[in-house]
Amino acid sequence: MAGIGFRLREMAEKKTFIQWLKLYTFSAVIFAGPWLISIVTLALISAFAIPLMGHEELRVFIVNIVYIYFLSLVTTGVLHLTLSRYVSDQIYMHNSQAIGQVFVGAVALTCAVETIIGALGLFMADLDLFYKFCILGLYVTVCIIWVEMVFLSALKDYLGIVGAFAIGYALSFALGQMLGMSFGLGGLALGFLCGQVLLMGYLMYRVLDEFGIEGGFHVDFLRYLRRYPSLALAGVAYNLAIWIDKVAYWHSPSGIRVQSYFYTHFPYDSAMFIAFLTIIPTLAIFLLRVETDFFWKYKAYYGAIVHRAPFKEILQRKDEMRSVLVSAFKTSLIYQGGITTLAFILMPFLLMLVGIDPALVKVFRVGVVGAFFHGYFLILIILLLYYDFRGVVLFLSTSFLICNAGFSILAIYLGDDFAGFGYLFACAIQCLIGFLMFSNRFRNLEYLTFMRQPVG
Amino acid sequence: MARTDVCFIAEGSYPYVVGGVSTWVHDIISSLKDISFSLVFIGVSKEAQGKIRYELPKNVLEYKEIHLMQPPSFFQRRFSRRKEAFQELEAFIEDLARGDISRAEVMIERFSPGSKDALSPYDIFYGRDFWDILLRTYEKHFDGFSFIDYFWTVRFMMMPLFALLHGDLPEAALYHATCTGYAGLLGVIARLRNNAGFILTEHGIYTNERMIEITQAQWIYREQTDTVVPRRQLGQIQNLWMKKFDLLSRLAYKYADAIFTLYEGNRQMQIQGGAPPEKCEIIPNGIEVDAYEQLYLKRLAASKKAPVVALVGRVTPIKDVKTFIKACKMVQSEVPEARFFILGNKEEDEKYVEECERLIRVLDLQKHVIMTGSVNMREYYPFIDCVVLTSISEAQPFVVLEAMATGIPVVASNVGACMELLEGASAEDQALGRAGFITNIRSPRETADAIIKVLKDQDMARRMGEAGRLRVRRYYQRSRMLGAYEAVYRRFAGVKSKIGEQREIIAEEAG
Repeated sequence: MAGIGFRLREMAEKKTFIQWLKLYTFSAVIFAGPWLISIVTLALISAFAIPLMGHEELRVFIVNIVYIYFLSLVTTGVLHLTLSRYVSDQIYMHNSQAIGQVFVGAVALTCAVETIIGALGLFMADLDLFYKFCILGLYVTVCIIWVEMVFLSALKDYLGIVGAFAIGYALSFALGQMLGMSFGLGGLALGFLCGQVLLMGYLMYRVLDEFGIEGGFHVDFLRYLRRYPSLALAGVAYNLAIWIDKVAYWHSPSGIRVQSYFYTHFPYDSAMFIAFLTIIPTLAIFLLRVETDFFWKYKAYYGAIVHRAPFKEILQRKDEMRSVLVSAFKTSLIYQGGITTLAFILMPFLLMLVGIDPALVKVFRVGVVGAFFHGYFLILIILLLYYDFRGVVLFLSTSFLICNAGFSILAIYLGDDFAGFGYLFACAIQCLIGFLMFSNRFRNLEYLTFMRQPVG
Repeated sequence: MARTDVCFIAEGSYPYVVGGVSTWVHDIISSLKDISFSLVFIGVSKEAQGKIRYELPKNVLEYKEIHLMQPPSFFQRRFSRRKEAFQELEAFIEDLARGDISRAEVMIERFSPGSKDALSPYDIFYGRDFWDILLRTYEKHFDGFSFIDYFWTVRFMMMPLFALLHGDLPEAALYHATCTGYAGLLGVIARLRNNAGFILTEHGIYTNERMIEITQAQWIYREQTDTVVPRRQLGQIQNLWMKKFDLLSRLAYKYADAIFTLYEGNRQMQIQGGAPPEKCEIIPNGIEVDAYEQLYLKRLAASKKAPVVALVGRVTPIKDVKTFIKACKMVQSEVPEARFFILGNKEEDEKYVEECERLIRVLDLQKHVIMTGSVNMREYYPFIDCVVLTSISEAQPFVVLEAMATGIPVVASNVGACMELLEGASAEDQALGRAGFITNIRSPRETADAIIKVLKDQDMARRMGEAGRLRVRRYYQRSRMLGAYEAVYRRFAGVKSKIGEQREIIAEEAG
């Protein structure tokens, strides 16, 4: 028989089109987790250490912790989403051995690169050498913990992980205090480091226990940096964006130089960290719903497409997916509205509790409102990541970075009365843009899902 | 590149795939040395096509390839609304659903790069407007059907069209497509764009061949039905493909200046498929008769003990070798000394070859039936007493012509042109006598009876052989086929003939 006619099948078979639709086992924990842990730690430290702030050595240590979280989030931000995409793809291909190998590779690489970055950061500081080593160790350990989080999120054992963190941090605080009492600053750092190392070791054990360590290691995921540059860039941009207002305040005229080139700002830092605490319960509950209820509907939606459902059924699944989101938004808005209002009203009282001058209430209140928008902005970004709208996420992260930097500088220029307004405006605007973009993408979900599949 | 006289458009055949059509194209080009040719090969993809199997003759001045699964390169995004263009497209799609291709010309223009308000692959593969059209069409014609299959089927169907619309065409006075389908569409495009001539030769009928493929294709999704449906009933997607091929054939028939095929049966099918009867002509295949004269003489002189029966062809299901083997058993009970050969390639379908071997063992014929694999037929013809063909589908099989030219009586199933070949097409032709027996397909008994008659009645066998020889000499000479196409080229491309004598013959017949 002459003619091709149907030999196109070779193509059809090669790219079984049913398979193009991969469900990303994306997890909100990857994107939000490290920041939430940092903020809780920093808020707790800010709240409880304030009465001790007079203590010079403690102030140095706290400012170093802040810098550790700041730098570790921004630098490992390159990896969070890229690595998680890689892990997701390997899970999809049932290639758990590769996950174990790439885990070892990623940890080794992080260890090497972050040691250099950390060493460069500490090199010029006028600090005791032993203390420097402890801080460097702490920095690298925290970075590795962030990398571990990516792999842990695949296990979906959130309770176990939260428990591990709670114990790890409790140990850090306890050991830090113990050793700090007897050996001063160096002891404090060493004790804190010990707790973190134990936590890192335990998490490492969990990951390797799940995925195994046969067959050496590799850094195969690095090619994903080139394949999905938007993921790496978005990770860095977002993590830089959430710190940029603090950095701006550190270097503002009212910023305080604590030691060498380590700055802080009071009350801005504490206000922002503590204010963010008000959104965390809702955020956690919302994200839990995303991971459970929403994720099922999300799977059902793509499942309907892949399992050859008629278009009507696909639309039905989408409708169910939307109702879950709408109801999650509704309930969370009611609760969060209440919490935020309450925190806003009761702020002077809360500040008294932790020993902060109630006269500073304004910046805390601004922070609480900003955190409200920030929380929802974060949720929108996570939802966009679920649907793999990488370009939109990159756009939002970048514009958040620019907005937060620009408005914060403007607020600094306008004076202390406007402290926190930069952050508030940036978050509110981003939240609005994010919402518009998300609802637009969601409305056109089928079109985007089908028609953005490349031909050939 | 200079404008050539004739541009051949070969889909999935010449120069990559060895077979009847390729041999035919190669013969025409290499024989008509005074005509300048260009050649377009339409393939699936660069990776899938293997090696070139024919050395292109010197008079092929330009050679191009179009790969259907090559993603379109023209992805220019246009932001102008072009609402009318999309409305037109949607109306055209509705036309197609009704089998109406009257607006095809306008649409080809619309999709051609550079035309005003052109629709680009971007519009079709990524654009919002086309997505809306897709949805509306789905609701109208496919509601309730697997959407993902619908979507990708449409995409798979559109992609080759863009490869053709945006493909690079050699310039020629006349385009000659070797089948309808994609080659036919390219011919139509060329004709409309270059204001050139377009003719079409179908060896097998494209839509029939696709029908066979589609019913056999396992990979196409078919919706599950609760009711019992006949196995031959096609699923919606299969129907869609068939519809596409049917429309492509209609389009080619509509725009072709002339339509050729090998024999009357195919011509009738083309007419059934929408070809205007006045455009349809028959140009049979031919062979180099003189080359068989020597074999004929050798055969007359050959002396051997046992009668030899041979099936010549690849061992594949389409040749229905099993029916032949069963017939062998029946023949053997009447003519115990007879020997049977299956002469042809054994590599194409190994599973089927195994099945045939098993059948031979079961029927206890190991000593009588021999499967040789590929052989040089010229060494075998002088010793064969009866050539058998049990195929379930053929066009105009060369093996029958060759057997006839060597003076061998033929037993052939009633497929393709076999009846015409063995019994004659015109009354004049029929007067030459029968060159063998026609049997029903899948009928071992009839086949065996015919073979037995041939083997037992030597006189009749000789008469049949002579009739066949005469018929081939008169109607199926290759020079005759070449002359006919040269005349066609002269008619439609203004090619000047230099083969004087043949020109006279053709002129006589044309007049």
